[in-house]
Amino acid sequence: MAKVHVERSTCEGYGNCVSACPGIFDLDDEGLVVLDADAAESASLDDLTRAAYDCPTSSITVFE
Amino acid sequence: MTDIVTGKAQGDFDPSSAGMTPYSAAMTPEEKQYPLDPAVRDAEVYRDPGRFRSEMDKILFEAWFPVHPSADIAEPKDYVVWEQMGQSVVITRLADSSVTAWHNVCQHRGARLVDGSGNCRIGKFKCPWHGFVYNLEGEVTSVPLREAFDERELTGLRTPKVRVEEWGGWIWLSFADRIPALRQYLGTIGDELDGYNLESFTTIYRAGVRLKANWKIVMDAFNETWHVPFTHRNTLTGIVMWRHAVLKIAEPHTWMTIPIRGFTERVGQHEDHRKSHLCHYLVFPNTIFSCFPTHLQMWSAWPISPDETQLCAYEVVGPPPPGQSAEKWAAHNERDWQHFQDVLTEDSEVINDFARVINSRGYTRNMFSTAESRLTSFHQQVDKMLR
Repeated sequence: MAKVHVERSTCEGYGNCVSACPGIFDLDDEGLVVLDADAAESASLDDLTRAAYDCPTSSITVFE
Repeated sequence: MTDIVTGKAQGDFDPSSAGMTPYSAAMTPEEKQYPLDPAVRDAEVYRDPGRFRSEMDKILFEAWFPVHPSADIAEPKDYVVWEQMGQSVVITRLADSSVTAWHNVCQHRGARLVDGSGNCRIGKFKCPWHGFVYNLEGEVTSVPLREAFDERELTGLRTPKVRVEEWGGWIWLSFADRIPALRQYLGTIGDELDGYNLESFTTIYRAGVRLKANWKIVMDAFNETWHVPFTHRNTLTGIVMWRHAVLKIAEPHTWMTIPIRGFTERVGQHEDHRKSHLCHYLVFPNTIFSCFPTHLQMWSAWPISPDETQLCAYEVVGPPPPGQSAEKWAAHNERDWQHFQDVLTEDSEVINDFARVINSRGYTRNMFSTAESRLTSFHQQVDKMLR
């Protein structure tokens, strides 16, 4: 089981996580990352780690 | 099963949870080992017309570059005219299968001799203006009203030769007499490209685009991976592990190896990186070979003026990989070329916007990070050759 930590205080809203995992990560009205916990239930570890990899501000950490 | 914690609920989850291994997006080992220090470049290097002329004379005309796939002139008497950088060159295949190249300029009064490409069945090119006749090697073989000329001027008359070599499935030209032969010029990059057996590859697609930026801006744009998550968020991030690029300097050239997402992990860290990674080579000064294990894209940036560049790109593919039908391989290559053009369009949009700011009083310098070491090396080499 994986855990995901999203650090909104460093998020700059680039949206790479949205490209990597559409429907799991999204940007809110402030342009900052939010997670859809229900959709994430079916996310693969590969997709989640890719979202973390492509985040230019290293605001996503996946724990496995 | 995935347990999700957002920033709004951090209190629910301690990221340092005992017993869990974080996948960290902190600096990768490759990022910590970039080869050159950060550097700064004055913006004038991209807009000074005097410098541009010097670059043409001392760099572009002192280099080797690939200009056509060998297959473009496969048969004896085949010819093709290559025109870039204000030059027009006729390249022909002779009866012994060797290749020759010469300036496409009549030695009578400077008219352009040959147009396009094809097979010159009679082996002669006639100047459209006054009828001077040249053979496949660019030698004058007939002069109308010969007795009206000074015979001393006609003896041994030919258009000047251009250095030409054929290697790796490409025809390469050089306007320089003093630089080494091609293979020596390529050095490490030649050793690298040798491993692909490029002679067995075929050029299946090609395209050209005129960009509104200095040629070095164009080269800079293609020699680092740190623009990938921004410029190519929806195209390249899914393909290349852009943060794991290993940069290498092989003066005057540079190169890097980049893991291919999914593929490199699957085949493992092969002892030959060419079989597991995307290998991206700059043949100094203006050509890039971007090589996947089974196919590649090649492109060259041809300077037109200080603020315009012609980019010519090619899709070059090897034989179908084992177990893959010709039809599937063709479909793969078509998708790959479309994808490459999408990437190129994204780069072109950024590059073309330079036209709006290149003379801005707010643009005074470039900063190159360690991740942009290949750019630093490129500009160091340019400076060195201008001295």
